[in-house]
Amino acid sequence: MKVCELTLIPTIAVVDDDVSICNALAELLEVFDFKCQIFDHPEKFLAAYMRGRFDCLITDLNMKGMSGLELQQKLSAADPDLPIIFISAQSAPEAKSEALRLGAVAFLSKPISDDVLHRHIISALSRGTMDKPDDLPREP
Amino acid sequence: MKSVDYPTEAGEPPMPAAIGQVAYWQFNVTRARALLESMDAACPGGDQEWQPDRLDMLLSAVRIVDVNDEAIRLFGLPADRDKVLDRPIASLWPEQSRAALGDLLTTVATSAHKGTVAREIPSVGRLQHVVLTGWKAFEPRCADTVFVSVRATLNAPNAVIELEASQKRYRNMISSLPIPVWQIDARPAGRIFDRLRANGITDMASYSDEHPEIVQLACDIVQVFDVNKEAMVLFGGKHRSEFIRSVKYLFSTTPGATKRVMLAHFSGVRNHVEELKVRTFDGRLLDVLLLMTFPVPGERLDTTILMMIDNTARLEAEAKLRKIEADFSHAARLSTLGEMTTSIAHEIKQPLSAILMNAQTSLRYLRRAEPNLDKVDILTSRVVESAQRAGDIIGRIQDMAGKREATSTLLDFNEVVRQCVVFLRHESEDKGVVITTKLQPDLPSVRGDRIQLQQVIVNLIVNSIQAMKTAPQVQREIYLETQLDDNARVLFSIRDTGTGIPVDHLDQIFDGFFTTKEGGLGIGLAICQSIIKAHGGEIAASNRPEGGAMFGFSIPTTARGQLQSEQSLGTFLERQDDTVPRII
Repeated sequence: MKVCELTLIPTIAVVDDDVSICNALAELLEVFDFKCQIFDHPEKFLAAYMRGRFDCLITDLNMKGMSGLELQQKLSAADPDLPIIFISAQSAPEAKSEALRLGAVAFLSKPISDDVLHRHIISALSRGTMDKPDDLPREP
Repeated sequence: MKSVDYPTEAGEPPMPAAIGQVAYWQFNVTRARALLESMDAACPGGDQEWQPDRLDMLLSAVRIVDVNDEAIRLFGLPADRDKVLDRPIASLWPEQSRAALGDLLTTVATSAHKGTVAREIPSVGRLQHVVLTGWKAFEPRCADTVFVSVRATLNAPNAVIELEASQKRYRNMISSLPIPVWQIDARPAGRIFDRLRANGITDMASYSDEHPEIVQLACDIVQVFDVNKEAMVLFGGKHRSEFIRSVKYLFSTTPGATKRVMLAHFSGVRNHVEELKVRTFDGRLLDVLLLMTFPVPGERLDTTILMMIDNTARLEAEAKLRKIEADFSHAARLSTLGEMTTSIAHEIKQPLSAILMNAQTSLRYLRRAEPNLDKVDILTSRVVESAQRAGDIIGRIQDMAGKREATSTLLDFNEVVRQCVVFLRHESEDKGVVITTKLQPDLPSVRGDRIQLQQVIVNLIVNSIQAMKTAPQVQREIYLETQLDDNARVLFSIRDTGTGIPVDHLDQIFDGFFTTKEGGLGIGLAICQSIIKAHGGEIAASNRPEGGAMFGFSIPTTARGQLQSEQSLGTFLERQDDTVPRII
């Protein structure tokens, strides 16, 4: 489980109940040279989760069984340092401010631009050395 | 009137030209010869008391050789001469004058002289002062041929006045009827039909297929001889003379009408009813209901009555109503879609996001110094999949959003329900509602419009989803069920765990513009009801004892549906037949 850290390639977890989105994200992350693990259900992610195993979490907001916000709440106690990027197909201003208030790195609206996502991942991974990147540029 | 109803001079039989209102019978008495002579021997000169059985024996032995049209009319004989000719007179001659006929035949057949013999009878049936005149054929070789003419002498002045008054009333009634009426002499066609029948033609439909010219001929030779004012107004004619010609102008605008009318006439039916399009003299195109009444034996065969009821305005109003209904139903679908915009946008964004990400990833692989084409291949295939998925979603929305005419096709009802659930999957997941279906397998198919039925089901599901907005998350459930009832109708029911329907709303819930939703049009359920009714079904709403609302509708399946439509068509035709005014 320490392989990621040893090779210095960050591992990113993707949680989305839409498999085609999961797969697309996985391919995009791969071309960015990240390692990635996909989960089509938040429960599956929680089952696989171990502190330090993932360097970043990208999660959908609306999912069957458990919302992205609920997932964020569960993780905030166990792993407050895990950077979380929300993606959502809905414009949900309340959910967005709630997510950001609870410490999410970014809240992106689908469809997402590769460059914007890349910048946010980079900033999430370097979070420890930066202040909260709330003022990062939104997608163009 | 020059009336020659018996030969005035030896050797001069009655000429057809002289045949006016006189009925003629021609008999053959060969088989009755022995009886006649024994009668005459018993009582020379006739006028005996007849024993009923002797009279019957005599009249059963006398054969009919020929009759004229007037005899058919006066005596109410079958119009088909074949049913009269060569039959014994016993079955066809009226009871009151059988003895007189017996006397007459005895006297004529047995006397040597060639003069005429007459018998007067006060009344026979509806005829008064009946005079029977009999004579033998002049040709000695036809010694057994006896002619009998029948005149009802209407010498009572009252009767003449009555008759004239009655004819005048008939003319007045026709001319002042508030319905366009044509009077037609269809006998020329009747004579053609008689000849065809004599040649053994019974299947006129196939005969006219083989000889299409017969249809045109029968139409050309049948003439209109009178029309009333309403008919002139309907056709925009100025002079009656414009109407007095072949009936062709009445039927030529509707394909096949001429043939159908001819087949009806040939078949001997009383009435023929059909919807026609007619072109008026001033160029208008009208939708009319044609009602034809053919004369039947016992009536004068020279008058066929044809009436037209102008349906143009009614059909236009119906078309407008259908359009308004379609507009309303369209508005209701748009309203339902409007309530779902959020989840629709969400649903479409999913495949679009996948497409965008896969395309961006592909570009990155392509722009590398050494493009990774294997990756691009995989990613492009995924783009295709997602694009198809997006297309499907948009197609479903277009189905619902489109403005279209209702169609009628055979449908697998369970499939109709399943498509609704797919359509609303996102909406229901968004709202945290669990939809459970219990569809009875092997339902017979239903006939109807898929989009309209889906509109009803989607509307009911969306209503239920909205009714559960306030329910706690764990209890948001919808149960859909299909089954076949005892009357072979498909039953659809939807139950929810929402707030139910306020009791005082239950009666008005299907009324138009009744709504409790803010911003709701209040036409959804009214449209649902009219759609289900148009499918021959019923819809009802109730509250479940355990809480929540229940809506259900039933519609006929095809086996039963076809039966019903045939029955109702049959009833319709019978009714038409019975309600056709009998003018003659």
